Amino acid sequence: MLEQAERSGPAGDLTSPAGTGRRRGKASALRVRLRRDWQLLLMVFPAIGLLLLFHYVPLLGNVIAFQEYSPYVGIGDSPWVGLANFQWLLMDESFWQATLNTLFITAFQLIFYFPVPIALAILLDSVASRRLRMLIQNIVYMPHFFSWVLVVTLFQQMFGGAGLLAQTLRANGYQGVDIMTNPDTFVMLVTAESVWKDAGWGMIIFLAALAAIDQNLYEASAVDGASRWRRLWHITLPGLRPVIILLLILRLGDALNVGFEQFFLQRDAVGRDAAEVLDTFVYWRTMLTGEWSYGAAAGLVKGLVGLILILVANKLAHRFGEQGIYKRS
Amino acid sequence: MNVWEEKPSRLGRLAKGAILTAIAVCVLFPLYMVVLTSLSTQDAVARAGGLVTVPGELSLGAYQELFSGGVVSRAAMVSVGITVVGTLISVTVTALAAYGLSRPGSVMHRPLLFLVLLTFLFSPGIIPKYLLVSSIGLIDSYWALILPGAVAAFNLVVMRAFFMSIPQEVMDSARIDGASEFTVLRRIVLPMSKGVTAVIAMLYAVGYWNNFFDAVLYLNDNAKWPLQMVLRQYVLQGQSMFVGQGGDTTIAGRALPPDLAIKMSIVVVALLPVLVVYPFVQKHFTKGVIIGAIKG
Amino acid sequence: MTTRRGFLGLVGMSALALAGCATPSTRKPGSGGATAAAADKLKTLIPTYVPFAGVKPDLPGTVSTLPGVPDISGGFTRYPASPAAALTQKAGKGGSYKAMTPLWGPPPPGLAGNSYFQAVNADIGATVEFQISDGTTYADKAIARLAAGDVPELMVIPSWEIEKMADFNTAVDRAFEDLTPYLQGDKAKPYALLANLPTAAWQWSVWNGKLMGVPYPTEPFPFALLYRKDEFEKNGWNQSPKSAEELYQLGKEITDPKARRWAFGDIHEMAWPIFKVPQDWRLEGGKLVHKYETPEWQLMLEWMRKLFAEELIHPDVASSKGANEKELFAAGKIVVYRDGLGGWKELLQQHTPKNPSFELGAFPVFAHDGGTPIMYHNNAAGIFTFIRKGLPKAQVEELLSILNWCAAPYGTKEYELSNFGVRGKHFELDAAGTPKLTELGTKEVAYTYGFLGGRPLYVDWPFPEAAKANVEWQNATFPFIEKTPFDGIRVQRPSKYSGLQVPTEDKFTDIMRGRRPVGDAKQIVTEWKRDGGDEAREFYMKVLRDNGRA
Repeated sequence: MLEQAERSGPAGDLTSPAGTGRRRGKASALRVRLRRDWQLLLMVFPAIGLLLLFHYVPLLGNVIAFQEYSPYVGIGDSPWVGLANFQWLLMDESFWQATLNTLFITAFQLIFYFPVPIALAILLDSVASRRLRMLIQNIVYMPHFFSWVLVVTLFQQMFGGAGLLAQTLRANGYQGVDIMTNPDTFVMLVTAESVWKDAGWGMIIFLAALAAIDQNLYEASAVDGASRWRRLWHITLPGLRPVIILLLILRLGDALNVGFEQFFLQRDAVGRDAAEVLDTFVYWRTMLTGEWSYGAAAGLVKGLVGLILILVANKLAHRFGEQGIYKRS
Repeated sequence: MNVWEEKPSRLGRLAKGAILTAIAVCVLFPLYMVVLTSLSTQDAVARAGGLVTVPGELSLGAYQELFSGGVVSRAAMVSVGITVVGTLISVTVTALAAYGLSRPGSVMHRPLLFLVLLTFLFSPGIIPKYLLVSSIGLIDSYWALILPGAVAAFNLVVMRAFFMSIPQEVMDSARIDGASEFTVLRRIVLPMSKGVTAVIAMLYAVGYWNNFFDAVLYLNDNAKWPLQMVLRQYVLQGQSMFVGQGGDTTIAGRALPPDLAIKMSIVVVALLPVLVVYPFVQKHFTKGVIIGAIKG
Repeated sequence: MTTRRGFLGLVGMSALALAGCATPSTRKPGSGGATAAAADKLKTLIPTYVPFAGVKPDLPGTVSTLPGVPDISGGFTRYPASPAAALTQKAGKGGSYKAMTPLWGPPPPGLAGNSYFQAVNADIGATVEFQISDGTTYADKAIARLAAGDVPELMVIPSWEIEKMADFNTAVDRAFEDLTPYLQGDKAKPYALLANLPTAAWQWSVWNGKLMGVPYPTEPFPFALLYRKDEFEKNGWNQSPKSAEELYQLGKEITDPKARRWAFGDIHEMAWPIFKVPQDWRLEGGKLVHKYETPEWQLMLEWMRKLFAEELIHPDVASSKGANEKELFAAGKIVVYRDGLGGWKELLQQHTPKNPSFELGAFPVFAHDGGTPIMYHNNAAGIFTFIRKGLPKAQVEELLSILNWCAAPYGTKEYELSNFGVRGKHFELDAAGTPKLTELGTKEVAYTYGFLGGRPLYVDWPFPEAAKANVEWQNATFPFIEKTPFDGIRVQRPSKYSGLQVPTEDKFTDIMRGRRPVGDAKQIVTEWKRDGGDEAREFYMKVLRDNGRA
């Protein structure tokens, strides 16, 4: 790995996607940089080694996207079919519907889910009583460890047609309501479920970020007469910003993933038009039919879209003067 | 509360109190239902026809059933071992790499980072992973449950972002004093990043603790099963497609436990270790004053 | 929602343009792997049926003369006081083998720390070590092992997992031993208990024109409408609805949301036979008509739509796949649901100890219009045991002999040992003479040997009344078994066709749930034909022509 780094150092920089294309000229400069940075490369080595062996080697198996693959015949003997699987995929109306549903849900959740853990962290951080803060912190993350089956069941017992809400209405002479089977509000339902399940868990990363903000800044600012809200705006949020932007970019890269089980479970209740997401689509198309190549093609498309989104988002972040995932040097 | 902070307004405190109470109720009430159901008898669960909200007849039967099997406690040991060893390896490797990639303008950092990021976007299939693990002889080895998932791109990138928020001058001054990069990481960066390290460690630990699918794939010897794998089997009880088809693969003489109570007791059992560990993680969210950390 | 669908059309169109408009030259995904074995060829490949005379059920079943339809084996009302050994010689020759089996229940300790495994192995005379694998992710593991060529000597694969394994024909060929030379015709004689397995079950063990596995027979009926007999008697409800209308009226009478009671769980799949929808295909004037294309299907959709619209089906069942109907049923929140007959026993086992009046029944089958009913039948085998390819002949014979031991039916000593362990150690007989696992037995005994080599499926429930009712229901239903155009032919569904099922039935679900107008059914059928339905029809027509049936 090290030797390889030596050989391809600057060239590697050039091939990087956000590469500036700046040439660094002389070999002696590289030698200087290597002398400075060899320890850093050594430190990266174990992680890269593990990823190369356990991720990249099996990742080569994705070439089956260009084959008509049978696991029992193996990659070597399965026939090559070019882009046929991609063509079938892109021509499939259901694929586009699932993609669109997924993006719609992701967009909705970026607005209504993503900020919740941040707000929760800031809110808790502002609680004066240490014991109360610890208590709440110790409670809110727990639903993360509930399975989706359980989360859906709990929502059902509250908001389903036989749930607490509907029964209370009925007992008081009103008509029962069933929020669980309404396709029009489905996106709100799944977002509410996600917030309930994961916001408390997602919060802990922001708590860590809050802890990393220099307390002297607050004190100095307070002494200067800045109000609570001004301190939030001028110290807390800027302090959190790099982490927020980073997680936002990563979430975008993951835009075509909204989870499988949650949608699998509730799909029949509201119908495919509302609840078919990419993961469930791929499941029905591949798991039940053993269409490995088709599934691999869908996976590659998904990764490619994620990559484009990440690169664009990263560029945008740079434009706004943020670090994003990696700085342009 | 710090001396420089002004007293919060009454209204603000009231609003905050209301929100926090609402949050607490939203989480605690379902949790109460889960725990109560796990402690309910067959009869009580049957009467509720779902999760129990009003306490009826209580029993520890579900927990007894879980632990009488004799394999649960062994499996718990396996899980603890895998989680501890795996988390140590993962945090070490991740922290090293996050630091190694965190210095602006260092050689190769961008292509390497890109290599890491790509793993977040493209994932290998089950079969190639199995073929690899099998060909390097890790089938039925606990390493198969640790090494393939030892580095998570997400964790690495997040940790790196935290490292990068530490002012470079702090590290540079140590380097001028002749400290090696390892020393800088150990003596300066990590002590200043206790919060994120704790979070990343927790994310990895939870990942190892909950992972059952790698065990499904890579362990043929069921005496080696980790806890989640064993607990899952209790949930699956009676879920054979064959039963639905009229067939029968249960042992006739076995009295089946109340299905839902068992499931909920498993939720509780799986939650326990997190409850134990979380306070230790939380400890590191206390605010450090950066200057103080460097001097200390 | 509408706007999104409109936009979708646009995207779809541009995607077509992107994909180059031309249809790819290769086959559509999922059209491989389908085969059919002709009926008369099957007969020569399988063992000659020799019934085992050792046990006689006290609840007689029905001997099936229909091709491809399994017998009703009958049942027992009490456990035999002293079961006799079925075999006189040791099955094994001291070999040591590994066997991969699924499990849906608590895992037992491994061989080294499990006196039950040790006792059974001692009786068999060979060491069988189980590699138990999670029953719900079984296909993932099985496929990975097959792909890696890392296959144990004995591998159990359920048929519903095989359906997920496209190109299984290739897998079978590469990984497993051809058993035809060992078991064909009279060659099966040395394995008396294997020869006792029903012919229809053996026919399903044929792949690529070779006998590849040992079958685990199934009961003939996939499901029934189960109801809470105790609740019905208490309330004086009609225990034998005779038409769809009567069932609907019953539903209206029972459902009372204020009392938290709904009539039905998910009964949709039982609505098919009630409306006399064909199980898959129907041969009409020399042409195959698929169930979706029949007028009966349309009627069924409308009726189901009415049940959903009037909320006669429990909202939990309507809103999530995770809803546990058995719990709702036990709580009396639903009183009718569809399940396999095995669910009957499971519910009794769970609830009678605390609630002795808890009682179930199965509605006698009926047709929607009050006419002659039909009922579907299962494939005759549900699970298969395969033997690894390339083992020496002596080892294959020893393994078959072990499977023969495992195939010992209810009422024999071998069955007792494999199901309950050692008497006095792993189980005791209770007051009614029924085996009950001891504490050690609960810990160590797991359904493992039972998967290896099936046996006639007797109803052997520890509830004599229910066992009797079950066998009676089966015998009464047998005459109404729908004869399909493919009975007796072993057809492997093309995976493309299985892949089409979910997307299509999703659309029909939309109709039943009132999300799409009933009139859309025609369009759905058109889409189904276009997406592979017609292709499937061609495939099945060819099967019929090859067998001289069309």
